[in-house]
Amino acid sequence: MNQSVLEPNGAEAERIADLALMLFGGAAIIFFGVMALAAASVWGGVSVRRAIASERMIVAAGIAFPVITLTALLFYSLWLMRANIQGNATPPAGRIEVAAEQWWWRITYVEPDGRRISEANELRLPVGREVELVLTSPDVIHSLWIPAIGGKLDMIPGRTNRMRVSIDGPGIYRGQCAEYCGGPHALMAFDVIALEATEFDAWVRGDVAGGSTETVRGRGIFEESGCGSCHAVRGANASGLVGPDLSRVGGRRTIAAGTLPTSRENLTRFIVDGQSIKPGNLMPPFGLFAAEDVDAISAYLMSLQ
Amino acid sequence: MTSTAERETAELPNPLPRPRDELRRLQAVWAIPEGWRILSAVNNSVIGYFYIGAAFLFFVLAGVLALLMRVQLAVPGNLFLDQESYNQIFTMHGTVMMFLFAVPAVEAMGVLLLPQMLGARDLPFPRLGAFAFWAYLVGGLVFFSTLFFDMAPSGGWFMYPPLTGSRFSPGTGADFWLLGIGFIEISAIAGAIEIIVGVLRTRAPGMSLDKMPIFAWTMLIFAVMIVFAFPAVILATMMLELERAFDWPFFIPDRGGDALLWQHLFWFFGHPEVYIIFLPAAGMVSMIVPTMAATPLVGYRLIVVALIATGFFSFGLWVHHMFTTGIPAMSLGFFSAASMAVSVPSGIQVFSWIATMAAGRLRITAASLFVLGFLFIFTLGGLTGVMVAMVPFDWQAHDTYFVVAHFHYVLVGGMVFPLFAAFYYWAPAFSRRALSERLGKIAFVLMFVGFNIAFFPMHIAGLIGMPRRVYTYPAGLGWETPNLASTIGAFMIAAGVLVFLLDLIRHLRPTVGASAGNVWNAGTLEWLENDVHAARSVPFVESRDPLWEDARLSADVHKGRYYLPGTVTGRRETIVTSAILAEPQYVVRLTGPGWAHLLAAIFTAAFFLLLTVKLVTAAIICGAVAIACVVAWAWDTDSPSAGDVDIGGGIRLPTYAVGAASHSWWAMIILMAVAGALYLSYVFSYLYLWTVRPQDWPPIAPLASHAGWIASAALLCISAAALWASGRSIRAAVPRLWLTVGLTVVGLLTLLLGLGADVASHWLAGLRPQHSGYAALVFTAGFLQAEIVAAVCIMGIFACVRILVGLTDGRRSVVFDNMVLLWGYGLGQGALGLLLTHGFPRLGM
Amino acid sequence: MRSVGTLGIGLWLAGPIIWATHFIIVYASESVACTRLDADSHSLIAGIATIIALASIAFIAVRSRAGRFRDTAFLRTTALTMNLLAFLAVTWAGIAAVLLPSCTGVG
Repeated sequence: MNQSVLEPNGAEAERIADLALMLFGGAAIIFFGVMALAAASVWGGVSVRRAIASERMIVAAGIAFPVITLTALLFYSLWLMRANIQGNATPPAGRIEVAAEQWWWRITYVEPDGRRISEANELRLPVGREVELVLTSPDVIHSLWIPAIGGKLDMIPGRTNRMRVSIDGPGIYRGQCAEYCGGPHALMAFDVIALEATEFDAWVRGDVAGGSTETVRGRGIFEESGCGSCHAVRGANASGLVGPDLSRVGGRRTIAAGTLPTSRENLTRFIVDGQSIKPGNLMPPFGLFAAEDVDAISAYLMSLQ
Repeated sequence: MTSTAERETAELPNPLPRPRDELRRLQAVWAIPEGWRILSAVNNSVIGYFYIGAAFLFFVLAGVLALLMRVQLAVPGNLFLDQESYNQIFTMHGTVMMFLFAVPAVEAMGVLLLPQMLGARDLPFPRLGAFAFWAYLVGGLVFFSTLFFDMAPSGGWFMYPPLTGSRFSPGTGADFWLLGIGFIEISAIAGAIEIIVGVLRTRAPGMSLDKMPIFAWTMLIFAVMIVFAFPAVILATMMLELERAFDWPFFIPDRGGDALLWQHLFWFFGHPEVYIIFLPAAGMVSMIVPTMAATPLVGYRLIVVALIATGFFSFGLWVHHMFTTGIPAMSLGFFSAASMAVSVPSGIQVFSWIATMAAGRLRITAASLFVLGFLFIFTLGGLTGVMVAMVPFDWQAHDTYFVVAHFHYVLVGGMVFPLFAAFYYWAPAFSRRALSERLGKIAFVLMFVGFNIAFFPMHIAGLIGMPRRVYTYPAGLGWETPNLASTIGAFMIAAGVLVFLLDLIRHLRPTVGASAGNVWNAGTLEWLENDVHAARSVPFVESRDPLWEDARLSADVHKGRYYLPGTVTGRRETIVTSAILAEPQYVVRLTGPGWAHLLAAIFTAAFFLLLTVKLVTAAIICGAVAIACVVAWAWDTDSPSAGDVDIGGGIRLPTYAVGAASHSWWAMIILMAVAGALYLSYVFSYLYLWTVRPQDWPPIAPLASHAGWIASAALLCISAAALWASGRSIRAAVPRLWLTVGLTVVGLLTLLLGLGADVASHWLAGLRPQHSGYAALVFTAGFLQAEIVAAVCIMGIFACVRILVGLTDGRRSVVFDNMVLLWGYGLGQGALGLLLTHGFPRLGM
Repeated sequence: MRSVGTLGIGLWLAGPIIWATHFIIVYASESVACTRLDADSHSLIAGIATIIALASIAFIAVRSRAGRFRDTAFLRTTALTMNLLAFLAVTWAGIAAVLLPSCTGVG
């Protein structure tokens, strides 16, 4: 899995990675140049040191050289920013709303016809299609960062930020909250799954595949225990909006916003003792359930794909 | 050089023998209180020592916190620290390092070194300096100890709301941060005022600005930057505390506040802060390099330019920390340009040091090694600084370990390494023995190698995706190796610091009279033979390296052959000189040891800390006691003129000055600049919120009636008239002191009523501070004005009482004049407040 | 060195002071223009402010070199260097203002 700036897989991230490599190269040359000059000033011969020991050298190395380099860099950086802005002139081919909440991601796919499909904690993106992410937060400041695709953008209560993303090839990438948001900020990540466009469309519009006969009991306990007052599952008696949408939770790679791999055991652990896995998360522990009941709920959740 | 100065120098050094008991009398008036009474000492050598000791204590404490974090992050999924502890620890590490170590440490170096370096006997306001120190120590210790009670703040050292608002941080941790740090910032400002006046007005005769040591230049610019930068964060902390305590919604977006307002104010302080810390450290390097290379500094003028340019440009960078908040592209480009501009002056300094090393021959001492280490680390940090100034790169690097690496390279490289160089360099001037070169070199190697092992891998960790401020991380992302390396490096640094501590224990023998002396053969005045009264006599300075220019200077100064070789008034005293040319103007008598300033510091700290835990009554009592202590301490500071005195060299100077000649007047002007900067930050906040939330402004919100501002303006006019008349009456040919007192009382009452009329008009119109961000800001104008009015009233009562008991009159008028200055400022601020809160909404924009 | 008075100190620091003024004008006018006026008006304000700032720095640098600071090498060279740095900083800020469109996000 990749959360690296240096392995870009989207237009913006590629531009920045090129910039970064150029900066590293330039910085390395300048750094070794300055260190060589410093070494020569301490250990060099008389003639070398005499050449260094003048105000003219200070003006040349301390003013003239930086001015030329920095001017060039400024133009390059402004040109990159213009490239980004111009990219925004055309309307995006898709829109996904991402709201960061303490400490998970509420994701809503907005279809061209206006239909809204709720998901959470896993962002699926179509390859080769430019998508606009609409970034908000209802509580504190968070920041959305998927290094392989591009730079980060803060999610600030009271404001709406928009970010264009386009991804070059299918694959799985990792993103993480980059602005300290209290408590388990460290445990607020998500996976990005890039799918071919047709596959993506099919997935977004696909039905929830839950509710096989083995999991009827789990679904019953889930609905009766009031899980639905916080969580929503399409097609079940659960439409809560407080916590993450669980309609396809079994199909996600991780639970609790990138904290644990999705599995029946991990779901059980999280339901019974989520506070020790992700301290401070807003779901109270449900230790009252009998072991087989929680297991049934987990089995049911696993079936939601 | 003017011709009079040449004539004066011709008579110095004075070859005549000195009176026998002159030195004994000088030592007697400057004597340090014995035993535990040393706590009442105010002399810069003693307070400077305490100050550095305290700052170093906080460095070690915050360093231990860093080690705890490094243990936690050594391996993925570690359970060494729990999440809440880690969050508190990283918050405290940053806060303590910035506010309780870095700024106080450089201020402490200024307090310790400046008087000796400038040829003064002491700083101009010894008790103010001591007050600032004690307030910082008491406040800092209590603040740090909150960690032991699980009451420490956990919102990060940057304290971004809404996370730090009462909804998401209901405990008292955030309050400790806001009140505790706000209070320590006030202490830093007190120190800054003292340093500015000290540098500009108490230099040795002849030391014009172009002959001033670079360290003094850096301390001057450091202090001026504090004056303009700290008020922004003081305002921000005030507003956040008002929000938390009284529900004034400055930063709550649902109620017309704005979360980014905090970031603007915080970083308007926070970015200059980096240079506030760095510049004095660079100044230390500019002192150490010439001595170790045994040659004058190359590029003195260029360095002065670089320092001033840094002072300015660093205020144009604050949005540098907000590149990912989604603000418009042009602002980003604009701040990116300023970020580049500020890197040029740093380059100038680096190449000046290199040129100086080349001009002489660098002796490889422990101090030189720390300087070379600084050059290495700081250059690398500067280059990554240019990288994060590139907006697109910063979108990736921001809030990752790359930035953690960058600013540790800049701050540890730029400040801690020079500070250790300074410890090794200046220890012989303040200790009976020099520190050990061998232990120093061992400490350097451990710290230098450890630093690079600890922090270089963080660049990589950040680039491969590791965000900052995470208490744990998963395996499998490639973060394990760099993190383990960082932890190992951190312990190497700690080992280096331990070796240094061992060196201190074995070799540091603090003294103010019998130091090891000028072991490096340095050229500046702090290497004269010093006692608690600084040098025996005050030399006439003719060059930047006086000890190199005149081989006999040290001996002549020590034999009392220059100015002021004894005490001319029987009190502690120093020569006040003009700001630019350092021409002698008058002899100021300085205060000696006392307890009032110490009690004032303790009770001021108690006031703020008791407010934090909501013990309001106890807090108010402590506040009142603190004010009483300040009054008691101020009572005997304004000594009457003792006539003209002879300071030697054929110069007779007065012993009292009023107006712009008075050093006290300068301090008051600087205090007004602080208040003005605070108010301008407020005006910025008001206008800023208007640009983001215009929908909350009148006519949606109720607007005070015309009667309100007219009444308030009329009262301010009456107050101004009374101010003018009272100033005239005290200086009248036939002074009628009762008239002066009467006019002052009327003027202060109308000033108070003017404020009351303004606030009442908003209240009667139905506006309440809890309504919206707009409403809260309207009442903030009144809150800020109330602070000034309260200060003017206390000073006014103080001045009136002194007039009535005959201690203040038209000639001995400094107390009255200072009150008048602040009064005038209050009138101006009040008028500006009326224009803003009554006039601006009526513009109909 | 000789005394130059308060005005002299102001002139000495003219470059950085003009930089600061230019900075405030361009930054504040963007905030106001983009909420109250339109993007074009801001580009115009920024362009004009930059030209005026650069011209003032150049004018003061030439004048004070020959005038007030003539006798004192320290003041003359430091003032000149500060003017140079301020000129560069204003130029860079101006380049950013000209090359980037006002009032647009970058996301």
